[in-house]
Amino acid sequence: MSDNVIEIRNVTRRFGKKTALEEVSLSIPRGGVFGLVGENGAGKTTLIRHVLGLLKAKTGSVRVFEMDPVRNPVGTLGRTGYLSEDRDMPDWMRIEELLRYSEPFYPNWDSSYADELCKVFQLDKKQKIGTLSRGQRARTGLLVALAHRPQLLLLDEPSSGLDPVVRRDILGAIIRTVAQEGRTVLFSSHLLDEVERVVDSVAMMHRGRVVLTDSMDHIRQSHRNVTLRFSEPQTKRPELPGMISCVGSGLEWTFLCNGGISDLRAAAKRLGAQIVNEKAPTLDEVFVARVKQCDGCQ
Amino acid sequence: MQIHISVHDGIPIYLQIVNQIKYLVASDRLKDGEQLPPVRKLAEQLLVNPNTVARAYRQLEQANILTTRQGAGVFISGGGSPLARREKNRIVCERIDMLLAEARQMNFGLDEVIELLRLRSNRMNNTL
Amino acid sequence: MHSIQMAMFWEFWRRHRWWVFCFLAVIGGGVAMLWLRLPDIGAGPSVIVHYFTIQLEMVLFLAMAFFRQYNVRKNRLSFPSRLYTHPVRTSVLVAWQMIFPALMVGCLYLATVGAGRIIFSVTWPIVGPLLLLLTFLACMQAIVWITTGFPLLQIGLGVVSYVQFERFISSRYGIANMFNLPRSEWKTLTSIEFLGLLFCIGLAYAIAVIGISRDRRGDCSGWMGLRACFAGLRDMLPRNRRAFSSTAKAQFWMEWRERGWSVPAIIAALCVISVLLGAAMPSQKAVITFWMFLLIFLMSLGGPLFVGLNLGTMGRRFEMTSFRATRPISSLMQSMVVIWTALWSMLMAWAVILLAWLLMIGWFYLVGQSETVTETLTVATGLMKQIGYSKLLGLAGLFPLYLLAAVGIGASLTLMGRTWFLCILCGGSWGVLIIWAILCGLGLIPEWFQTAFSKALPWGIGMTSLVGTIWIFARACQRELIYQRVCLFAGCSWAALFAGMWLLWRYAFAAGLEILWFSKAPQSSSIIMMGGLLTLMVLPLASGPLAVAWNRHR
Repeated sequence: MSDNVIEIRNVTRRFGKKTALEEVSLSIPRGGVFGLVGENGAGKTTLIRHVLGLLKAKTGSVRVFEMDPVRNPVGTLGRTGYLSEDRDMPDWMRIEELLRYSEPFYPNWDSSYADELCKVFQLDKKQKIGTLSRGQRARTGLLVALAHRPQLLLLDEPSSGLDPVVRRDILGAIIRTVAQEGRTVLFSSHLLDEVERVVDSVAMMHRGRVVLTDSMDHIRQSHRNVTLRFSEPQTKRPELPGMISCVGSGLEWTFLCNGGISDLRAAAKRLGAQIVNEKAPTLDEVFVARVKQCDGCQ
Repeated sequence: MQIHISVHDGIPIYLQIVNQIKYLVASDRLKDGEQLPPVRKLAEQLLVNPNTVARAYRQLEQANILTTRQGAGVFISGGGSPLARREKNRIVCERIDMLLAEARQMNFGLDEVIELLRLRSNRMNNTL
Repeated sequence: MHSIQMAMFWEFWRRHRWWVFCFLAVIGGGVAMLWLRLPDIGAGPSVIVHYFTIQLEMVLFLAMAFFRQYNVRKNRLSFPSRLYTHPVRTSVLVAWQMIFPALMVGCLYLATVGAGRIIFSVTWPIVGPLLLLLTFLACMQAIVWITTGFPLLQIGLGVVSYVQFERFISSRYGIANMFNLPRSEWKTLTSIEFLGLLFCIGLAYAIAVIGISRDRRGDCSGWMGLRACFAGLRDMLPRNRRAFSSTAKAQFWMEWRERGWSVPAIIAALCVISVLLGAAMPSQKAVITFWMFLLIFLMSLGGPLFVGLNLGTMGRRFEMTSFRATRPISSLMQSMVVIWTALWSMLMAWAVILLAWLLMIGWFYLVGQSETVTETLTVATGLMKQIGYSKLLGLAGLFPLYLLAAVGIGASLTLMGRTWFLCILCGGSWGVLIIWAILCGLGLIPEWFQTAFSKALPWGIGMTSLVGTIWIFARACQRELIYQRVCLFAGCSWAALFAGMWLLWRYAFAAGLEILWFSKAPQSSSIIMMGGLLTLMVLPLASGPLAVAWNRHR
């Protein structure tokens, strides 16, 4: 068995004139948490819908558990737990009815786990889904996605528009899922501090392209945030190797660079500047810098 | 056990855990033989990836601060006093480095800093 | 936007412009049709045309009040609630919301009168009907607004007041009985009528203000207490909590609970309404209810296609919701469950009618009106004899096949989830029919073409269905949606059906029996058509899964 749960190769998708995905290739390994970050409309949902088989790959290929989700929806969806962005569920169902309905679809359905989650999430089983609040609705969706102990958990913007308590529940669910050996979580979000806490690897999307995909550790190691102090005011932007973004004026300039710290030190020496501050950037800073760099190129 | 994770200061999360456990040991808030929560529990409590916690534990184990007893859990290893001493040294040194850097930028001489330290220490003793 | 009025007018126009265009299209179409049929109308038909124009306009305005001022699906005013946040008094808000449609109605009525005068040179009265239409619209708006949250009350009040208006018009036009045509025109408006109508408008305004201010306060949620009580009662009922033994059963439960029950419920409601109508007509014999039941039954014979269309609807604009699309169920199973539910839905609807019939017969015997039953039975047997028993028997034999095909094809059409396809299909077929009818009517089609066409039609239908079915099966197989044994089953069933029909035909022809239309000798064109139509019975096996897959994997 291959180590990749999801294998996406050269998928391009257009809706009318708008390009939602452009030549996207992505491999998501088994085990661990994979984060998909990007602005609204960057193509995250489109990508997840391809993984679910709700969209058919027009070019390229999508493989989930080494199967085509379009040809074999039962095989892929039966092992996948999914929480959609709009938490789409039939409003007329009660929670207990939803559980009863969902049970036969999943071979691994665990009723006692469902009951336990119901208690943890403080859901009233008698309530109709249409009458639930937004947070309760998200919890219900999560309950159904988790109760069959899926091998792959797909969460599309799980925490958008939710209060911190529900967000905690969702992060907890991600952690609990991945703590079981060999299970994989893929979730999209634009709350980057959340992503930074829980993910092993991350893919950044911008305008339908994957601009960066790497493990969180490697991103932290390979990016540096340095502030240089020059001996005399610089009129034009100084250049550093692997520079992604640069802000500042006059004597002090702050750079976000992709490269080892020794290279940066050497480069600073060459420019006749002194490194006054140097630290690892947060994911947020890397993301903003990358997006700006991409926009600058176009 | 109180550990606080912040994603804003650019320090890897596993390092934050390692440092804070070391600090807790050094300041005697974690005693010898005390049991630590299992990886999964701590991950859920801190809301971080279990792999990160596991990595922190591994590192602490390599530094002989933790031992894993098969089937029983993770414990603070005994006889850590030399290490605790070293750790305490490290923490104080870190603070002194920061103080010196700050002082140098404000044009304080080393003697002046030492003098000020003595002054503050006396005052602290008086108020106690 | 310089003033509140302008802003509201703009908002109103944005919300209603399509309705206005539709209205203009209907009136324009009517005028064109009239002009083509009778270039000059005399005094008698002029009255009739005017009467029906007013009727049509009333129905259109009723529809506007109901659908444009009220959001049926959400059970709320369709009035954008952001208007409520504007610093405008409710009375002013309501006034503008009533004045704009009134203006619109006025213009539209004047336009129709003008069209009558210019094109047909007839003079229709202006003041009376105009005032009546304005009153009608105001009353309907008021009713829709005051009863928001209470749909049943809304419909009841609306129907009652609509009937009152109808009676008023009928009396003005000298119509004594429901089915008579108007004799005189409503030329003069008496002062009592004038004042009465004005009073109605004022009353409507007052009621509308109360209704809107209730909604503005958020009081229009309906009988909450009653609903909660009802829900509590339902909770106390013993419910089936056993787990479903298979995916198909769970899916069937879901389809039934979501849409399947609606058709039997509608049929039951129709039966109740017809009973009430029968009771409301004291002069008539109770037998009218009997015939109404028969009418409902006959109408429901055309139902399978609609039930299929209804059950195949998977979400808004037929697009499959992501919840449905992400259930791990194969497209074949999903489509089969939908068709199965549709069949159940239809059968339950007929069961409801049968039950209603039995109840009615029992009731007639109880109240001593058994002769009504025997009377209708004799009429019915007479009818059956007229049609011919062998033909009826044949039709009954064919009925399950028709049911299967209609339900399956209807479901496939909506399961596909493409609105444009349905539009093209409906619009295209109607367009072709209408153009054909017009061309025939104008005598533009030469004789030879008509005969050739009628000869080619069976060939065309037969070949299209055959080739289409084979193509659909091939596509479904190619996409691995159905197994080969399903194809084999479909092929064998078709062959068996075809052989059976053909033998029946030979037998009927040889024995001189009149079973179905099998009295003529079998011709190659009719055999092809029969074969083609028989493919439609097995078509859903492939078209269903293909449609689901097309909807699900976009």
